[in-house]
Amino acid sequence: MNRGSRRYVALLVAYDVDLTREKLSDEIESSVRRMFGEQGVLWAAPRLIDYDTKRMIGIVRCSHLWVERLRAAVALTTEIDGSRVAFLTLRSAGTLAALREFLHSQPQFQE
Amino acid sequence: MARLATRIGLRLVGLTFDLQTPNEEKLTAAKQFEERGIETVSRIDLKPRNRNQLLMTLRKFRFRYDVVAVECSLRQLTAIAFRDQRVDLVFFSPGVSKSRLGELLPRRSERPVEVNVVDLLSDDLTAVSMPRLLRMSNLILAAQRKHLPLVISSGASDMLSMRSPRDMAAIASVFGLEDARALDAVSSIPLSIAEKNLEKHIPRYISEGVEMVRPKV
Repeated sequence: MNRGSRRYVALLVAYDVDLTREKLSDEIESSVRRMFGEQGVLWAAPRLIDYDTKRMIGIVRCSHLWVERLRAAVALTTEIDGSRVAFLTLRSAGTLAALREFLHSQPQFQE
Repeated sequence: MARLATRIGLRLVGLTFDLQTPNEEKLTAAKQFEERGIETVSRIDLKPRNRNQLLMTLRKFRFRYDVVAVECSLRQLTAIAFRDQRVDLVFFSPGVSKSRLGELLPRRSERPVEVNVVDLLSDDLTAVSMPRLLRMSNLILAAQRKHLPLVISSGASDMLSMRSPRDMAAIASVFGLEDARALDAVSSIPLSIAEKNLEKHIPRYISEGVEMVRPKV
């Protein structure tokens, strides 16, 4: 069965305290659920592939048809466990390699 | 904020000041962004209560700021704000009910309507923020129906309420704005407003479309 095209989205996390990979993964999924419901989570199939805690950049994989809706859902997230948070998408790409290359080539993401 | 703006790739930001903000404070804020290679435009949000107050504040502050935005809460004010050439942006106070938005908007105008994403940011997407989401959706659809240009701003007052332009466009497209128009609302339309106003600082500028040309000696 064809699993459908996927897109990879780089996400910058602005948060007051440290955020674990599990917590971030849960939060991305629940942000899609809050906005688009259980069916949205199924169709979007968001999955945290990578999370660099030092640079606070995560890479999320999702269905190519749901990229814009994923962006909107995570952008409307403002709080995790009572602490304020902001998710800002940096770039989306069709392959993980292309996205990683972009993140390595940009000096502002090396800090 | 300037550091985050650099990381998300912003090139130009509008800094909103109060009527009472001292000049030193404005310069310091602008310098923080300019040191990181981000251009700035100064902006003021006017919240007049009647027609005379609007005209008086426009006369007084138009030339001190690059961008002038007017908050509209009355139909009488909206009509003037959409017509006056000195106004760059029009926005509606969050207190305006969604049913009144349609009647406040004129049929056709070149003046862009602004939508602030910060008005939507709430930890709870259910009962509390539902009226706000409906209001935004209504405003976007009404502006689209009446062929009014839209500008989507973050309206951020701190780092954690900032959002990237693509995210703001994605939010607007979820609320019914066409994808291409959503991207214009965060890029070309605000850029054209800033460029139009920055042009006025050039010494040879006289008025829109008119500039002084000196023959070469």
